[in-house]
Amino acid sequence: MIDTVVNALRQRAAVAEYAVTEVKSRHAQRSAQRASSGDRHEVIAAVFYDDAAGRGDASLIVQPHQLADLSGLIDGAIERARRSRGPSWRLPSPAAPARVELFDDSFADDPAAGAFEIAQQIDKALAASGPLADAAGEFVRAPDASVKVDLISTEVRTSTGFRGVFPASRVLVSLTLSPVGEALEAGTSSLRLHRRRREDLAIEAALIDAAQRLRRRRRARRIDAGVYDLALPARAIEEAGPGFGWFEPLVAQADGAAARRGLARYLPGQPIFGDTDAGGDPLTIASDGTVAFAPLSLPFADHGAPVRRFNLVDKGVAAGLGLDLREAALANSAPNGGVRNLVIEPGSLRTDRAGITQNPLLTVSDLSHLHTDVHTGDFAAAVALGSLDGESVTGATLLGNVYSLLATARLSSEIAQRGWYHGPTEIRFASVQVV
Amino acid sequence: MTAWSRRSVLTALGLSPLLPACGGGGAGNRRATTAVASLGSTRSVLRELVGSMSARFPYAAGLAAISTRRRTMADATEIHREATTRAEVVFTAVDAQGLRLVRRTSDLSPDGLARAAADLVGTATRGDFGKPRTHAAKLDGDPRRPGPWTQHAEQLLDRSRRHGGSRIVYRTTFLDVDDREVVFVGDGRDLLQRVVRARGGVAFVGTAGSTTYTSVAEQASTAGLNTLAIEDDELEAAADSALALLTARRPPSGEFDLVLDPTAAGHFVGRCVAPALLFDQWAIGASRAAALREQSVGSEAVTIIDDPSLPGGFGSYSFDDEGLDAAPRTLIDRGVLRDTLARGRSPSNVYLSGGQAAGRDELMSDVTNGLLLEGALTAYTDAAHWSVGLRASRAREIANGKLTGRLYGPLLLHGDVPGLLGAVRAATSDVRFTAGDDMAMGAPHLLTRGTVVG
Repeated sequence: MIDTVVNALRQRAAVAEYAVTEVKSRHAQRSAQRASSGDRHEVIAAVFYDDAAGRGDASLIVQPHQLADLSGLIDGAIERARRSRGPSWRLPSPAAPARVELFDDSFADDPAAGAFEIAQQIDKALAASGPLADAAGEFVRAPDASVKVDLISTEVRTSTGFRGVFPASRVLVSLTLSPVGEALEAGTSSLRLHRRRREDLAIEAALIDAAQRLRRRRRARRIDAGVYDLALPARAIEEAGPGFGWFEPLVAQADGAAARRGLARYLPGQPIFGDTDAGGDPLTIASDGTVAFAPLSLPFADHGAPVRRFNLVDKGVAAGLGLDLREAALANSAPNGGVRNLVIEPGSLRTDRAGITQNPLLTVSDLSHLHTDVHTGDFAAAVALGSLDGESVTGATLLGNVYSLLATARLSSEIAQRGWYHGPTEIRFASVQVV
Repeated sequence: MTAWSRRSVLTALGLSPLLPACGGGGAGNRRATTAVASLGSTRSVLRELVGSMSARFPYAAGLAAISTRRRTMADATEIHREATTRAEVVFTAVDAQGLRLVRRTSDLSPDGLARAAADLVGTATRGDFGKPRTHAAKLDGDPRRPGPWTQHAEQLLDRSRRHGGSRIVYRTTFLDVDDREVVFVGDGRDLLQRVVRARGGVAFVGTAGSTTYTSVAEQASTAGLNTLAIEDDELEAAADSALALLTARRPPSGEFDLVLDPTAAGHFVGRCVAPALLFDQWAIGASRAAALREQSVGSEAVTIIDDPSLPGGFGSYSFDDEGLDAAPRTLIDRGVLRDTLARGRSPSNVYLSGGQAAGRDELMSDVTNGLLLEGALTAYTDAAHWSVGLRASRAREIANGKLTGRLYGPLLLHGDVPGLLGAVRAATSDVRFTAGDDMAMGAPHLLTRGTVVG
């Protein structure tokens, strides 16, 4: 289908440049009461129109049943591009895609079989006398357990001669553990995994961890209000979501378009902490979309933009911006495919030692909610499960500012890889308000 | 992958490969195999295929949706206009053991649909879906036709320049329209509806040092694009809010009488009350509210309803994904928790009914020392505790029944939902809605008591 669209665009004099992406995906999803499968096949084309006022652009989506009306769809896109307006820029010469593996061969060509096998693993672990019951201290169930396997092929071609294609796989596991036989106010723990490879799920260990958290949640007492030091293990950082969780404001500041419009809090070369004194470990954060099998890795991004590793923050100073093809051209810089997996350099913290101030140390295992204001960095986080002096706690809200928090960050010397997060196994922060 | 020919698939389904509705190749059927301008042709194919599935399964249905998303964004240097169309069909069958089988496809050609259906069924007879019913959209401003709305974003940008002056460092306007046509065939019904969800507005950004403050004036509706008018006083208020925050004081902490504006009260209802009333959350033991059914969780002033049939509501629809007609559902009736949301459904237009107070000033007249919370930023609940966290962008001090003029910056209201609902003393009569993702959250101004922290 991509050939047809590319050929049609080539013949339009009004189209100054184009970038065409063909996506073919098949997915299968299994849960206790549901077996779902599906396919998606579409071509997404970006059309660029130039005149004296600058460059306008528009997108069009073509699905298989629409090919006969392709000419009309292209006419519509050209008209929208003509009526759009923006600064002039050109697609750059093609650059080599990153070399990165994203496809789990164990899925072969059968997402349904893959989803079924993983669902069976979960069912087996949930068996009444299995290891989960031991870990939870009671029989458990996961009525909403869901496994989804996606197999995706992406091909991009541009008017500048770029051609690239890559396969990718993706597995999503989602479930809520609760005790058997108790329907009301029973207490739960959840598991959300987003991986590219089956083996990276480590499903049995993850389920046992969820069962242990359920046991702790059932015995947890409410946290008293006060000021605490905060410890975040890698799993809690990865699953804090949505998006990059605690790091969402930093990622938002690294948006090339926001920086160009003057809406960023700081620019490369400026300290990210503002007027706050940085008393923690030196903070260095890179974006790396070239880590094999990491969920946000890609060889190339939209319109064939090459994905490159770059520093977002270097020892507390803003270092780089996420740049797609357009923003890179407008900044007269090289594109890097935007912010992808975060790699945070380790520090010197020994996690077997006490907190970093005189405050009690609250270790957070699960959040039920995290909101970060991407403009100010202010956050509010609801603690679903934590521990305090070995005792399980729940039910409080953490308040503060991400930048103030990061200025105090102490980073463990060991590192972990969990989904998009590659960094210290634990990060500790000083003096967080709990209400 | 299995190699299907159109003839073999249709034969396997018990359908004639020459059925006109399936685009059998004659010139007269050409439209059925080309672009999906609407779902008319797809609807007839669905009737045939779901009929085939009905012979095999106790329940079978097909849901076709074509969605055109039109988005316009304008600022001082750029205008972007997007219009992308995606279509999808979902076949659902429930077998004798209760297992729900689902097959999705983006290929709406008759052959593509037949292949997808054949994944679920091997043999065929016909089903009966009754007379097709169509729910027409009543639109003042149809995105498929030219009208005043086509210049909405540019005109709004021009008007927004009159407000806020040079201290507003950035203004951007937006118009986001999701024009969705849906066909449901199954379970004895053949339905078609068109839902046009539109939201448009302007964002004002002010900057103080390294911090930016944003305030948005927005309208959202399913009643048509010409209903998205934003008055000048709303633009002025949004610009003033962004600027006022630059000099706002640090808010106080403690327990206060609180007047929540409709955005704050609406977020409380939509993000803190309703999520604990999801059927599925009750079923897995994840919601404290499940243990409170038929018990008092609020004062007599609290009645909360979810109504997908609300005319023009941003979350409105005529029928849901299972072909069931939209109908209001009372969740909390004069303080008593009555019901969950329907099985598998999220909130549509969820709102707290209006009260007796004539206006905000009447509510404030009952407050000796309190705060007026405005401009909700976010709200959440931990359903296990049914606790609430609601961030408002600003608060105004109330003393002796009147605003003092003192403005505070962002603050958090926290506590538990039954506690806050139980403390509701009064509400104004006018319910205003705020748009969420495919839903609307409505409330009047509300007087309650709770704990805030700055």
